Amino acid sequence: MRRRRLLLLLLMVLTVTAASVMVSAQKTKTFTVFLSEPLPDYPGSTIVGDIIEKETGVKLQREYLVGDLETKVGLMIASGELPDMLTAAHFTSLFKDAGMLIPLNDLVEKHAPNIKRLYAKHWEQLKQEDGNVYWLPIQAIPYDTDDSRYPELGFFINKKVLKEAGWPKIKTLDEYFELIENYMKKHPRINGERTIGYVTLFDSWRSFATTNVPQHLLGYPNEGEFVPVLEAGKFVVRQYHTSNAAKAYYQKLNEMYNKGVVDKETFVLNYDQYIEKLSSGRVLGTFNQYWQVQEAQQILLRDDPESIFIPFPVVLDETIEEYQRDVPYIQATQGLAITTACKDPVGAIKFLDYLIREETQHLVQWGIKGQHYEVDENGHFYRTEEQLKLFRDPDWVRDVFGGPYFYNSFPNLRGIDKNGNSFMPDRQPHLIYADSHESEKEVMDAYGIKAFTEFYNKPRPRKYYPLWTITIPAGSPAHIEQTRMKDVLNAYVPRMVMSRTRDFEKVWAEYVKAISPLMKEQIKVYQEQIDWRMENW
Amino acid sequence: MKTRRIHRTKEDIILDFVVYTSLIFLVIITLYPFLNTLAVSFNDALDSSKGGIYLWPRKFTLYNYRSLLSRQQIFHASLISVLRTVLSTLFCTFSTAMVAYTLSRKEFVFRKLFSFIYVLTMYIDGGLIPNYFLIRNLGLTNNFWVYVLPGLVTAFNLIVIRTYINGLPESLIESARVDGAGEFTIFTRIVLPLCKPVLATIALFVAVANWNAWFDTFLYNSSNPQLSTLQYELMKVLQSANTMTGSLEQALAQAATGSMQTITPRAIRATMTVIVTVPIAVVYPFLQRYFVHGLTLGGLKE
Amino acid sequence: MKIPAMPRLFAKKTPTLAGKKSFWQTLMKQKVLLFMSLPFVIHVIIFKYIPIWGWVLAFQNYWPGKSIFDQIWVGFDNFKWLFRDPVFYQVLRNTLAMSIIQLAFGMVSSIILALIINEVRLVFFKKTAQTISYLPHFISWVVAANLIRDALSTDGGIVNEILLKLHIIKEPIMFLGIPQLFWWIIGASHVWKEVGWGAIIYLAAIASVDPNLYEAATIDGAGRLRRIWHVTLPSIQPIIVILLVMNMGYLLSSGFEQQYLLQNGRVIDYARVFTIYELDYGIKMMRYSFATAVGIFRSVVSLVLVFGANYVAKLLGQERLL
Repeated sequence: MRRRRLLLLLLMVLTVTAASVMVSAQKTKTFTVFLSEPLPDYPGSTIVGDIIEKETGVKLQREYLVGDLETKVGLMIASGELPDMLTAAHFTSLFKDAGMLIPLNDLVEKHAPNIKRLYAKHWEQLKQEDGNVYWLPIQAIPYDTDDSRYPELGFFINKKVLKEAGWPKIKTLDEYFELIENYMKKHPRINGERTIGYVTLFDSWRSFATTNVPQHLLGYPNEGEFVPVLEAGKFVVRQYHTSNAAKAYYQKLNEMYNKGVVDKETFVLNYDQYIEKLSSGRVLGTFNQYWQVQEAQQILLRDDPESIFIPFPVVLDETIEEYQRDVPYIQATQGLAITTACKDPVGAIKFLDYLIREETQHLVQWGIKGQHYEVDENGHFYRTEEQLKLFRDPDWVRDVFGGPYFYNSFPNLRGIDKNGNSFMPDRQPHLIYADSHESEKEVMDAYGIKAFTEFYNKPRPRKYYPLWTITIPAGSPAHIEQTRMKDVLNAYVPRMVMSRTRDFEKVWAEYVKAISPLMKEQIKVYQEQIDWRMENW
Repeated sequence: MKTRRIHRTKEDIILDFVVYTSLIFLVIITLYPFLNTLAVSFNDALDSSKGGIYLWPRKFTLYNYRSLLSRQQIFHASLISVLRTVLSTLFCTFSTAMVAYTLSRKEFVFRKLFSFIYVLTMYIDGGLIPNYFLIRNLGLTNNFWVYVLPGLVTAFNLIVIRTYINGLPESLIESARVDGAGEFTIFTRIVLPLCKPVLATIALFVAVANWNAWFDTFLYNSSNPQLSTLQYELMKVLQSANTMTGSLEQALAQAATGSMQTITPRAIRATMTVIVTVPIAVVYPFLQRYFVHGLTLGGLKE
Repeated sequence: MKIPAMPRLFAKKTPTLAGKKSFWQTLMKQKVLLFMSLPFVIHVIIFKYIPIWGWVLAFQNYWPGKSIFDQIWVGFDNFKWLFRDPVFYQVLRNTLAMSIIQLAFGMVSSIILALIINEVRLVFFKKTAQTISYLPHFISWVVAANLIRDALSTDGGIVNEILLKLHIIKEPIMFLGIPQLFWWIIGASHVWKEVGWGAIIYLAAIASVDPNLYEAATIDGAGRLRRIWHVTLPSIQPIIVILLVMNMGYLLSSGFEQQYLLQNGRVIDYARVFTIYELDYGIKMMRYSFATAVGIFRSVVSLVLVFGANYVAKLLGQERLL
């Protein structure tokens, strides 16, 4: 009977499944680890992974996040079922509060000379109130910092606009929009379609691309919702949402909206639609953090390189000095932790110590010398055209090479090593210009620069930097206030920009009234933490 | 099947016109999203981000499928998905129908009480954490049966089948009883065959719900890769799409040479949709014949 | 008449049982029925009722990591917070409005579709149309929302293009930016996505209609419309009523992805529903206690609605839940 055969098949599948669970007997040391950053499962064997396994005798059983982190963390804490090691993004400290993490100070002191050496610069920042260190941030910058082709954020402008205007250097918001407006007048259509002057991203949590702008117009780097301002030698946390800069910015957007420069439907676009518009080549300008426009830039570089976006550090007016670039920082408030469930903490820390040392970092990020990279007479690493070809295939890098499985979510080194090589191949200093696209080079040459970051001032030191890594306690009054404040921003910003010009003042007044009472608690929390950081870091 | 030639009245003609035009309109607007998804799934991922893909791929590629289906777990996870779907569908449909039958018996003393107990469960829920503790204490975490057991009889399906049984002619059941048949025999021999349309419907509901489920894997079986399901594996790929390109700089270096093949969340979603929908579309006609058929075929045949 | 919210839990003694038998004797006679149902009732009590202890969380300030007995008890604070929150009333209004629109239009359209499909005589077309109409159910809202956004865009969206071509409008309309329109866009897109799937259950009910009834109606000279009205509709009426009653209880639970993915800052005051509110102010902040309180509130309202609807159905002499 057909039915019986089906049943037999089902039984067979069950048996096979059960058997395969049992077969995975272990000879090596195995650690379970939960990683909050999603990645497809480890393929089981990779070039890098096999070397690491052979040298350490450690096998990792990884669980990458699927679904939402809040639920996962809540369940892990409530049930007490923990892996040996974990990362949990901004929830890491909750595990510490629940007494589920073990302090690393002694372990590092006794068993991990490399961690001690390479995290030395950051060590004070990692100490919690009780003086213990509970996690290792994913990144350590042991020596100098390196640089990249693009800055973290900027007012991006279409290359066509710059070219036609004779490569001007844009400084102020007025200049920026004037360029766009003029170009739009001359070219109402691009590739047969309507030219879009300016788009601003306002899709759910990504709306910071619109609401964070006032702090940058005042010259600050990305701090988050509030800015610590140096007043009489002390960093005082200030809000910028009702500042003059905010008013001038929204008023400018309002003016441009009514002139038809700002895209009519900019506030109803989601991220996919935003990328769609940017990559069509007919958008002239947008503000954002670079990683949010990167996909569009990739497409433009491939299909329409004359329309790529060039970033500028735009400020409100000439009097403001710009320091918009990030002060090099590590995310001290989160990282990889060893839990109380780990039966062999010494083994775990030794493994991490092995991972973080320079030799291993070169292995996981650059590969095997002579096979995946070469060294020139100055001791600089580089890849041949053939090697580059391999590394341009993300599938190969992930599934065959395997490096990302040991530097994503695991402690890794950033910046420049002792020999002047960047730990990250893509940031190798002498290759930033050389590896640029012809279209990018044309712009850089016109401005006499070797990377777009050179438009920007070097960041000024801010010891606490940045404010946004401070975690507001979950469910606290400050947390609720924060959500409410974002609700107000969500509701009012589109209204301010889209209102008729003569109504702007009225809507602005309403907005100020609505948002002003929603900042006190947050400022209190941030101020406390900033003070603590200034004292202890 | 041949349609019967009856004399067509004016009413017939107008009605047919309305029926066919509205159905054709519906087919167009409901087929479009699927065709569009199909086109995106066969289109170069980055190119799809530019928009403007409608019914046909612009830059044809199989890369999206290769990228999703080449994951090592996919085959095993598909087996688990099929297994859970088949077992759940069989067990749920049969047991729900059985309970529904008892609750349709007017003389059953616990009819109201049991119905009440079930109905209430539709609107109350203890919450995530208590549910987790229960499943764990029952030893169902890291256990295949967590896919089948908790949802064995659900109130909604139960009520739907009960309503259907209530609509059956009571005389059939009575005459069987007079012939001396026991309750269980009446249920299996008389009621079940009569219930084919509604059972096919419920089986479809249960099967689709099981086939699409991934949250229970996430909650209860996430630390045992051997129990992973297809949907869960696909969710993994989807969630990791943003980190797939590695670093930003790396992606740019790829872009600079124009030789890159990468995958975006949009492309993955489209491909996922096709991968999980095609098996349903294949199995569907076998269930469909129970509730869609020609005019002359009645439910009470046999 | 009895009190509506408290249905009688035991059946009246049925006339088929002769004489004055005791409860136990009746039960012995029905032991097969009991064997067929009791194990499953115990099953549902274990899986659905035991976790209800979690409702105590609503009266605590629950923090995961501590045992349930070591938590801080806060009485009704979570409920007070909920009822004092001005956002709550906005959320309540939006959820009810959108749920009712979805329920009404969703059911009506699915019933009409089922009737229409039933009227098709070409079996191939009938099956194909039915199969295609349920396909959008399998498209996730993320994908569907993008299609809807594209269609409604002012920048070349198909809806605006058609309206412009037909000279109905002069300027493209930003449909998704008009707060008053949002509920209706939600309703329409729900119908589009779920109409075919929803029709399946009615098709199953139609399949059980005794063909003799149609024959009889035809002999009586009834046209097709009258047969639909007098034969088909009455025979699927019980399932319509039951689904209506059951769905009354879901009025506060519906929605999430759809609203979440189609909303934007411009229409947020009309888009926020309970499930989004619970997530933003509950789970995302790890306020499990508050989320539980919201859940209890929803359960209570649901039960009142369901038993109210059930009572109305009873008064009207319709099929009912209990």
